[in-house]
Amino acid sequence: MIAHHPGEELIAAYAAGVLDEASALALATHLTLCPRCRKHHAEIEALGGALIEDMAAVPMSETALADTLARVRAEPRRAETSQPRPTKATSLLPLPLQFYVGGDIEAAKWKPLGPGIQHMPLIDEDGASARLLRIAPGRSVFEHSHHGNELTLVLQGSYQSLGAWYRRGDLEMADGNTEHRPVAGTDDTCICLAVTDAPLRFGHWLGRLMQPFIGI
Amino acid sequence: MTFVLVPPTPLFATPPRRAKPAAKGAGQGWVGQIKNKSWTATGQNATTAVNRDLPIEDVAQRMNQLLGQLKDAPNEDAFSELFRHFAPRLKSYLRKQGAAEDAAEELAQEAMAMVWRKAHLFDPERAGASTWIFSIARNLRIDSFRRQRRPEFQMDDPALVPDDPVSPEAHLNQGQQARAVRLAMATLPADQARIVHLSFFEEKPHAAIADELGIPLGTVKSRMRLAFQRFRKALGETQP
Repeated sequence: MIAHHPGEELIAAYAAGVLDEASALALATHLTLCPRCRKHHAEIEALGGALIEDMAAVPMSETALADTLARVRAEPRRAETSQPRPTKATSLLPLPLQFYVGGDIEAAKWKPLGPGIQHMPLIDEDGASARLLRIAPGRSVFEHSHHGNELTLVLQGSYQSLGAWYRRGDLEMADGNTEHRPVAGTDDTCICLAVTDAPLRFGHWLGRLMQPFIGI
Repeated sequence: MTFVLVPPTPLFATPPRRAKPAAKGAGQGWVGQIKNKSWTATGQNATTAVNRDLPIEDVAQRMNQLLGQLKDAPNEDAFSELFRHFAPRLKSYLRKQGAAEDAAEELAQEAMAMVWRKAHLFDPERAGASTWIFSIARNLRIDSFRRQRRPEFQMDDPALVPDDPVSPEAHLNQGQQARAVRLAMATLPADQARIVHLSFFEEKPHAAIADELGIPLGTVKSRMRLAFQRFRKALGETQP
């Protein structure tokens, strides 16, 4: 049973299509494991549908329909997209993650990060990053705080942070004000997806002045 | 994650209050429609589509029917009607997100071509036509504007934790669902409706909205959270 969910505003940003790719990966992975959040996501997508329905119609070019029909007529019917297809009855990594890892967990290429900790970088773009972390039982990630937001999603084992336990499917949200020192449970190696988003930048001087005070 | 607590406008007030006119930016999008009483509490006038003579349920049912035909077999008549309804709206959506005229035209056409190509994947049990087409345009925009992809969960994923079974009474048809979404939206006060609306159009949602509304980032996040919670709660109440 999942106890820690992404905030409503994160699910909404994912549904609206305005999240960076690394954060969206954490959301897609959580939604695979969480029927409750999938339902919330579907409701916000339905809002997107209503929004499209209510957009003022902007005239298309005169030949738009004919052009589009000509384009699809020329294609073979129903070309399948090349999403990774399930090959096993069960898997540790949901398919959105397998796309980046290149398969299920045994395909992961680990690099040492610290005592008892390994990682596999998956995305690093415009300051937003996603990586898999592998933490030996009972080991901890060094204490850290964040400039941006950090999302951590457990895939195997568990960890404890600020008095709460996180298990498979649980998603922890931390921001610049959070100082935490996650400790893996002693029963199993903890594997999680860790995402840090780009530090937010303000365009004008007041925003830059404010930045240190509002903790982003 | 910490949020600044702000005293919000009273939430979950019953009966739903009519939205106040927006102080700023009225006359656009949902806020403007609420002000013009298109989003009424009864939903009787809740049609702002081109098919203004038809209630939203009927428009939604018709579009679902057409997409269902396209799902079953290639059907240029069904596709043409879908195109005439959705392409100008998708273009409008893309324009509003900052695409130039040519790019919006091209992307709207490409989105409709994707509708043709992917029609066999449309599942009327999971989403209505407008919602499904929205998701196609959204993904195409991410792909094209940002040169990124949108990681998507997949219902046939072996790792998927399945949905709870839905009781037959709780299941709305897509026409009823389209109306329920509008009714729920109409219960939001104007400032929350505005935040919901902005969140669909701002590329850097939280920071940009904070900038635009002149409020701290934490306040934006907490308001956004409250607005979507309230929307979903209202949606739940309109369903049996």
